[in-house]
Amino acid sequence: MPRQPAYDLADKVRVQAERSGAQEVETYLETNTTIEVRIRQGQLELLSQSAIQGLGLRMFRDRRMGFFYTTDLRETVLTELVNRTLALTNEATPREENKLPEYLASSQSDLEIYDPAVVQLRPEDLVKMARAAEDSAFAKNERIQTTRDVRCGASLYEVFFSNTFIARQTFRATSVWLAATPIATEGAQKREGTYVDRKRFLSDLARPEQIGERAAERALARLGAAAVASGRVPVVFSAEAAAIFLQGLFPALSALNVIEQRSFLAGKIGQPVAGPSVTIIDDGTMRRGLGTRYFDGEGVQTHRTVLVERGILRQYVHSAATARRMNVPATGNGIRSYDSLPTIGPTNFYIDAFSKTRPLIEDVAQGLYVNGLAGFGMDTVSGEYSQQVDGHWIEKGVLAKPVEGVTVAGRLDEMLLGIDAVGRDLDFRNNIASPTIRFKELTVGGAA
Amino acid sequence: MGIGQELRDVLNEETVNRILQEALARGGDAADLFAEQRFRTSIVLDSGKIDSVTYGYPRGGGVRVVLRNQTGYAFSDELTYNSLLDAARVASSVVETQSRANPIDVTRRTLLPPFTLVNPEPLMPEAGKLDILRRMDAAARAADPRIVSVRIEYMDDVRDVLIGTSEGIYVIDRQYLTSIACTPIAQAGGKRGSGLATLGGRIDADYFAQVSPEDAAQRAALQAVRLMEAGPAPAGPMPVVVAPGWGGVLIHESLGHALEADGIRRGTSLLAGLQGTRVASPLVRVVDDARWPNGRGSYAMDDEGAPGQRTVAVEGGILQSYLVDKQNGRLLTQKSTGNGRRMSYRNWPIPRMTNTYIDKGTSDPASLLNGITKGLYAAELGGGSVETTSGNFNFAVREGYWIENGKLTRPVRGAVLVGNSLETMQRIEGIGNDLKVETTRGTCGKDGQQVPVGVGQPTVRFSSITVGGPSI
Repeated sequence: MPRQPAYDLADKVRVQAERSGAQEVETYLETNTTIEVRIRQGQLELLSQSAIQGLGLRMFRDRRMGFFYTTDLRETVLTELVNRTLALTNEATPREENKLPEYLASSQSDLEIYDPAVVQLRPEDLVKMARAAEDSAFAKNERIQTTRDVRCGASLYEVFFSNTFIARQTFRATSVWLAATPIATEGAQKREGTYVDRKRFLSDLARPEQIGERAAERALARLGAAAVASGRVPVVFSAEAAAIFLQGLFPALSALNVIEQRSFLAGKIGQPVAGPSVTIIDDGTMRRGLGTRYFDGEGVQTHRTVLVERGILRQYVHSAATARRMNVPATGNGIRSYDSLPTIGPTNFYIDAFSKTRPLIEDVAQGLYVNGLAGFGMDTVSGEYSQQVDGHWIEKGVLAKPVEGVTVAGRLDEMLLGIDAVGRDLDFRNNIASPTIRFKELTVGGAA
Repeated sequence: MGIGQELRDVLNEETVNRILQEALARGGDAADLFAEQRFRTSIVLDSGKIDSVTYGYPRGGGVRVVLRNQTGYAFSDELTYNSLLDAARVASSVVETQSRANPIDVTRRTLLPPFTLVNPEPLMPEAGKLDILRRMDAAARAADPRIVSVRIEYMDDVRDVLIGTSEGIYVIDRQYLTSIACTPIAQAGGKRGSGLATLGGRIDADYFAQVSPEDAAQRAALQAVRLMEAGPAPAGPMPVVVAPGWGGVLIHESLGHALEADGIRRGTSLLAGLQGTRVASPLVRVVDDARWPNGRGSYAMDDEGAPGQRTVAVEGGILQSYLVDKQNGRLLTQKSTGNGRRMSYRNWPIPRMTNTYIDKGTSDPASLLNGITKGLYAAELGGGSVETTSGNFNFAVREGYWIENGKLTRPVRGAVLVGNSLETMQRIEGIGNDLKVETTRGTCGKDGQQVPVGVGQPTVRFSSITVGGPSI
């Protein structure tokens, strides 16, 4: 919990900055209390406890912007930082859009992002959950003899916000997570598998036994994997792989990148950009969502925004500044922490579930099922995509053999338009999620 | 004010002794205190306008207690004796035994810096920094009419650290770092390409008298234009030649991470137990060097107070040394190699690389293309990643050229290269004499902690790597 005096101090510094010549000032005070334990072979390897408190202060003078952040909340230090930053602000270029949002819309109903049960978790509770997950991974199969570790943590996060126009606003949010990474061994071969669940509410978290077991299944499934031959085949991305792919795609939907010609989706509003079963949404108001908040990092109320509707590009994602530049309503995506300026980021960002009931692999005669993605192969400026993947080879609609050491590649615009099936297995274990999706055809780079 | 004086005002030898004693009050093998104060300046110039100017002043301290493989860690954003005493108590709760520690008596040590900065760049007046950014912006725009956007990000960091350990060490250091990244975008006929130039390192202000910001910006702009025109990369295994310098991302991912002592101690790294055995072609020497001039990964001491050093990890293809921090070193009965690093006082130290490179070989770089009928020349890499358990790694190629009959032909883009560490390192069949260590870019992420690193290599030729382009 932030100490009350810190709140008052933030207000005081804001007023001081206004008196020193800033016309508009915004304060963002953030506290975060986290406990995390890591277990390995039944033993506690790490116990970490942290309490973060930091302040970010943004100032505008004659449409010029300056910003500082600090964890040192001594009054003399803050005064000096205000003066130094104001001096530096004179060097910035005036921009029409450099202006704070002037009001916060009426408060939203309870978004259920705070769970007192999470706050009450003690290290010994977390240790118990982590041990249970690890034990069930070991129990799954005798080829699981070790783990990289099992991590369990809980955090409480609180934001205090105010600006020249908006009086003190605050909210708090909790999260709890459990991540298991067992290692499967066969001969000299070792492969790890990770399964993570993260939730706002303790009661929503998957049972530790389930997490351990699923992680073990993933590690075991990778044993004996080999490359397949290069070729162009249908490729199915598992829900988790699709979510990572979607995360990589986010910058292409950012209005700032669109304005600055840094997105392959620039200028495509109203046009088909993906297969007709693809709907992409950013929803900062989803109940219990890990990306849910009452207002964004610059005091704009969060929204549900349909970005791609049945394959048609409807909107980009905005901060207050880009919304002003494009003359559209802000979408509440000014994401930040106290130590950064608001930048356009996702809240709860997902591909919506579609009504396809049969597993997506059933109609595939020969193709690749992708479970894991690694590395940086997406270029949302040029629209090129190429990434390291592992998974399974699909033969006559079933998973036939494990695959690794291969790549998948394509042009992003063609790939999205070529998504010919979307599953219904949408499950939020992160703020970015997707059901299983199928690309009609991608290039697999593998053995000769 | 003297280096670290503000930290020293709060934490002299006497207060450090008392905090460490509290940390070990319930027992434990070792404890340390890490206090940090940074001053960061960042400036973003976008489409010719100074978009934002930022100062950051984070400050705090953390206490660690270690018992065998167990670690307790707690930190405070408030840098006072009492808050660090609290952190010590919280960190000590990891220890379940009830032994008592000996009294602690820390003594100030002096450090041997890897190089000396006379007039560190971060201390330059802001006007000078802004001038460099404006010159870069103008040069990038002037390079080609198809440049439609230029973003330049400047960041500098002055980091004071104070470390006290239960071994009796008390040290204070200051580390400077400057990073500039210039990203022009070229656009024409519905095609786009982005270029990249980076400048900086742990540098003096007169760096810009030797390195022209205009030339760098112009190079980035011309790269953006080339990549806009580049064709798709091929797919499948083929001979690959990787350009010197930043190409060292390859050794960082393929062997570097697997050398880090945490995975060795846990037995989860593919290199565990392989000291003294062959892990690469006999041509390969791998060095991790915390003393490379101006390197992003260079320091006088690591974040546990151990001196930064040059470690030969692989010699003649044989694994010689791991990259060791204190805790894992104790468990492996190996000495710290000065590789215990942390992102900030909010993190506990873990073994990390510094400036890691494949050392120079004997081949004429141009000759390394000879005899390749069809292959890929990786002129500039992007980022990469590795899973140290399996050794499966990848790295992106930002700019590549198709090799035909020993000659570079058309430019290609959009490829990642994938492989398995041990197999790929055995396939090195030629190393140039043109070693270059990249000191202007490189940030490595592990366990949520980002630290600046350097990478390097001469021109290196592989008999075969799987290329993941879209064209067959």
